Amino acid sequence: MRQNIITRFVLISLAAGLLSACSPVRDIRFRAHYHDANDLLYAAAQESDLPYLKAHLKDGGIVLFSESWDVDMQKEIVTGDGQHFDFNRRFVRDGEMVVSVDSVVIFETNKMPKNNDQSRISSLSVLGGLNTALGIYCLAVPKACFGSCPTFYLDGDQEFHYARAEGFSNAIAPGLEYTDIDALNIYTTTGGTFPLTMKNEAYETHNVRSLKLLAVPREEDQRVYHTQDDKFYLARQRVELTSARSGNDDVTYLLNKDDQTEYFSLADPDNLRSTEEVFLQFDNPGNIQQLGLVAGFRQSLMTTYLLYNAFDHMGNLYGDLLATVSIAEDDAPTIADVLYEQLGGISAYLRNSHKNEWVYQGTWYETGPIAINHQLMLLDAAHPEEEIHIKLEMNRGMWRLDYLHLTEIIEKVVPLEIQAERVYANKKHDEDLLQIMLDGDAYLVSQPGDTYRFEFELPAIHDDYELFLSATGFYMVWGREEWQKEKDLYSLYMMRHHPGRYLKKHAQAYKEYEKVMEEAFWGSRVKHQIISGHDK
Amino acid sequence: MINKQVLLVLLMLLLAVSCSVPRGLPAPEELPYETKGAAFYVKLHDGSVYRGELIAAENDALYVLPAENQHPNMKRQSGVVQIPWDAVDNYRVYYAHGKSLVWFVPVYTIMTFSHGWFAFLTMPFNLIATLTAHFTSQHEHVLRKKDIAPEELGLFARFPQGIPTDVALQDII
Repeated sequence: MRQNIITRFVLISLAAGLLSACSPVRDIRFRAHYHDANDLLYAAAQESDLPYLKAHLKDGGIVLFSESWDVDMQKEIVTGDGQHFDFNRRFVRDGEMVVSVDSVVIFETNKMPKNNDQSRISSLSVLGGLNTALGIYCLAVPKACFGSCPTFYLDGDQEFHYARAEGFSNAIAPGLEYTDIDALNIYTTTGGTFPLTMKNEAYETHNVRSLKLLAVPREEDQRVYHTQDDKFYLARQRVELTSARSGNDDVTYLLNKDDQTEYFSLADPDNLRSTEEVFLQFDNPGNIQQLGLVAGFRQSLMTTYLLYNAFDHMGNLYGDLLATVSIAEDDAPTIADVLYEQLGGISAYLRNSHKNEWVYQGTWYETGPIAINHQLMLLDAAHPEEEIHIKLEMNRGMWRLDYLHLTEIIEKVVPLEIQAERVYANKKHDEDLLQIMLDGDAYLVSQPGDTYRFEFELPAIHDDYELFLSATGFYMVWGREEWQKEKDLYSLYMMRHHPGRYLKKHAQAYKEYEKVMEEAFWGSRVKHQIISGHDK
Repeated sequence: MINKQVLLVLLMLLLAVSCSVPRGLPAPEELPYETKGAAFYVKLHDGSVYRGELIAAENDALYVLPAENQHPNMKRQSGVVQIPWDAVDNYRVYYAHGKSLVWFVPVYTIMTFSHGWFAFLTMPFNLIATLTAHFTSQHEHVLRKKDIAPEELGLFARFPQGIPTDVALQDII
């Protein structure tokens, strides 16, 4: 996958570079030499404009004629205004020149050489236009371009498309601090030191109170998954998806492997709140006590867009309104709560063939469009005697699904909590930061562009662990100058108190955003197929 | 891995750009009024190199007037150097300077700072495109050995007819 991306990137870049540059013109026909004056006259007659003329003299001197010159073949002379230079190109004289044809060894004509400068500059202008357009777009919708919450990387994966986790995405104010657990989805660990890099890739201030590795020992062919409510289960055996359908489309090939080939639908152009269904089928898993459904998923940029819309609407009250979120004593829902209520998560239903009904099993919900979440849902399907049918319900254009499979749950487990042993700030070991991370009440404050490396030591008593990251903290998005101009408290009120109408009204605007950003953002990394009843 | 590959491409482009054309070349529109020979680079089989004005290209030898500011590694000569054709390994003719597009490189690179996440893609893309454009523009009026045959070199020599019979090599400056 990664090689494909590299190849594609390099090829596109080179092709575009060559296109923008255009090859140089290697044409020497702008200059011609004639040994005979008749040949010169014949060639000049073929041209609409008289070419520039140089007469190379037998003594090594040269006469440059200005734009008008004439050859008199009867008198065998060349006449015209010009300049005479000797063989070392020292100026001799200028003015009216009369040069005997006999004294000339070569006549040289010149036209303006061709070049590709114009097409080259035109191509660069197009590139400049695209740069400007993307820059303006990123200023208008910064969240779409400038990241979100702390992103975590394994060694070797340093670019946001490969982030393994994103911490506490919903904690946009101090009062909203919480602990976020993400599966790192590593197939095997080798023990010893486990490094993890945390980056601030956004115009945000990240405040990290705690960062812990959660480790569960596992044997060969075992995996450990966590559920939406952060319970951990040891599992074995993988029951593959046999069929997946969205409407009339067979999307099995998109969902049967953990390969970042994602299923994704576009939003409804008439209403952002619009449900879609995906139907899954699994072969009879046999005699299993407890069955679990495992999924890899993440959000599209829809919630990102809506959150930034809210910030836009707040205008110059952005700071004040976020502060009230932190000090509010009532349980009034935040805008994030309202959006969750309206747009919802990924709900799963199990088919009960005896009663001919779909039975609700649970809902996954994780904020953030960057890192793929890997989560488990326990199914109420003990001792299934036939194939398993599951229906997923989710908001259109809101979720990206990577894979789904069933697994056999062995037991509930409690992970080991492992604190960092060493912390490096921008590659420098920092003991003070380590103490802050171990304190529990202090915060590691990360500013845009900061990079921290944490090193954990995995206990030697087991060879292999399933690893999760537990991050506690909050972050604050930096206010932008543009927001000062766009205060729209009525829209903010509508978003908070009449979200249904708001989501309907802003559907078209989001479709414009989605058309550009979803493709550009994800097209650079993952293979996916857009399935949408309205937008095929 | 991706960083190494991108850096390698950029390094190659930077090296290519660093192979700059000689200074003091005429603009393309000044060519009809240029009285001297084109700037010339010639590399011999023995590894030695001459840079200077192409004085003449005759059937058996090239004549080059080495530039005063030639590279320290090059042989220094006073007056015109006669180079037999069978000693020549490679050559290039620089007859005019191209348009400098170098300002696009920093300007477009800085523009990508506003692209956020996308800068990882757009920055190298812009660097490659602008450096390539600048490089090819600078070398627009350069002819390599494959572009111009030895018998055509006279087109860009001070004396296309060959060294004039009444002119001594040591008198040419």
